[in-house]
Amino acid sequence: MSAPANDGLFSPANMKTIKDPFIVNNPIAVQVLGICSALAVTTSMKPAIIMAVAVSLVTGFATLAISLMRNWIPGKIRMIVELVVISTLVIIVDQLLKAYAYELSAKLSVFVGLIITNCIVMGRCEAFALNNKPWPSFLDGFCNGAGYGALLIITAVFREILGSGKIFDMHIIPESWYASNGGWYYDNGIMIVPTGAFVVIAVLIWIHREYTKQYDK
Amino acid sequence: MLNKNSTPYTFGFAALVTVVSGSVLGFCASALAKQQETAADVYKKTKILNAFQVVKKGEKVAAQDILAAFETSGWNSKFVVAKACDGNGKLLDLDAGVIKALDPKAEIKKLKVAHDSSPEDEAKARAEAKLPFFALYASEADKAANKPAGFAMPISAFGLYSVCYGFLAIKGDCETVMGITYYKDGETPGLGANINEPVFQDQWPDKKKIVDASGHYVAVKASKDPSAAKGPNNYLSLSGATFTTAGVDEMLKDFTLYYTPVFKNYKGAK
Repeated sequence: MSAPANDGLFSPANMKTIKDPFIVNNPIAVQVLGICSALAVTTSMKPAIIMAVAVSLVTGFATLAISLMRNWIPGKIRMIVELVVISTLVIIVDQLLKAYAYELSAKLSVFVGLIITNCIVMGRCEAFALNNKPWPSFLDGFCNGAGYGALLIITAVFREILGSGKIFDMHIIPESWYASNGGWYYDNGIMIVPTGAFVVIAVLIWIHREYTKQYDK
Repeated sequence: MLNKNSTPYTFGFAALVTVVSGSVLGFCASALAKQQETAADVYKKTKILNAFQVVKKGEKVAAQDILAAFETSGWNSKFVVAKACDGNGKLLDLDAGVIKALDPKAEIKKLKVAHDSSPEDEAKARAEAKLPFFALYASEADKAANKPAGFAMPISAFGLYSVCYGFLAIKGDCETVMGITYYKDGETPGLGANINEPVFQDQWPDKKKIVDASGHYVAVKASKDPSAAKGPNNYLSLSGATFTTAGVDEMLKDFTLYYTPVFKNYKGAK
């Protein structure tokens, strides 16, 4: 996929590159990529936001770096080079989290490292960055990461509220509603296990397809 | 014109990419090493205070306050002191740096091997063992009189993917559990990693005991039966995490058994 010739940082072609990953070509809702980490890190808002930021930055800078090197990368080791660039960026993100957000780093456990294997990152390097200039490539990578992150955050909102009665670790369901305090309310336990993420993501995909009228033929 | 598909060019390009990425990572690792070490230390000490219920899970406490609780200044009139004893419960006079460097898992392993060997070997191993633990004091006066409000023993065992490291804290009565926390594990999020979640941790404080009805020391064990799990010597198994649960059982059994003399020693001293 090659972006149309364009001028200016936010030309119509670049604006399309920015918008498409959020609705028309969302990595999760349309391409169904990155589901594994989406199941694991969406039990609450904080890890979902950190993951969204991490994937956006890694995808953005990986596509930028690959685009800058695109005229020099030997075809035979193209994907290896992409993997080295992606791995380097992921390790930097992991090191930064360990230094400045240790608890979240522990909570995200292996899933930060597994950004390396997230199909969205290499997919954008292969499909876009190898054929486009650095700025559109950065926009495409960053916005695909952000489109993925947006769905993670929406999923986490539902899972944290329904599964734990909280948002950002703060209780929003009154304590007096809970059955343990004489009320009628129970947290929905299925929302804190991966099954809950499947349910929420499936409903989001359903709503997305009804909205965009993108049906499988 | 360079031939991008030639072998020398490919080798050269691969070498250049490797050197550049390696240099960037090396710089990052060395620049962040100190900060990472401090963050890991604060995190581990927060988990110890979580086990003692001095800091509630999720409660925001400044890093310097967490570290102060382990210093002579204390924090909120609470003092945590690192100590070590031999396998017979006798306190050892060791520097804080030496205690920090001790490996409780290796010490327990040595005791287990000696236990399986012969009573003489076990007696020798117990006398040579150096078992680290943390004592909590609720006031300066208690610290001076050596009257701990609780003890936190390090616990560890292999779960499904990795060794899980944590702390089991016992009240000063040497019977009632104050809390259990984990600071390092690689278990499956949503399954085994639930050892870090309220579904597992809320079962423990003030509800579990490491002594049975007749007063003998026992390890708290997993139970799949929710009503049995409410008993003082059982906890509810982690759903979908058989190996992690087995690991938790193993560490509770091993560490409770070998740390029991420490508790007996303190009880006897009262």
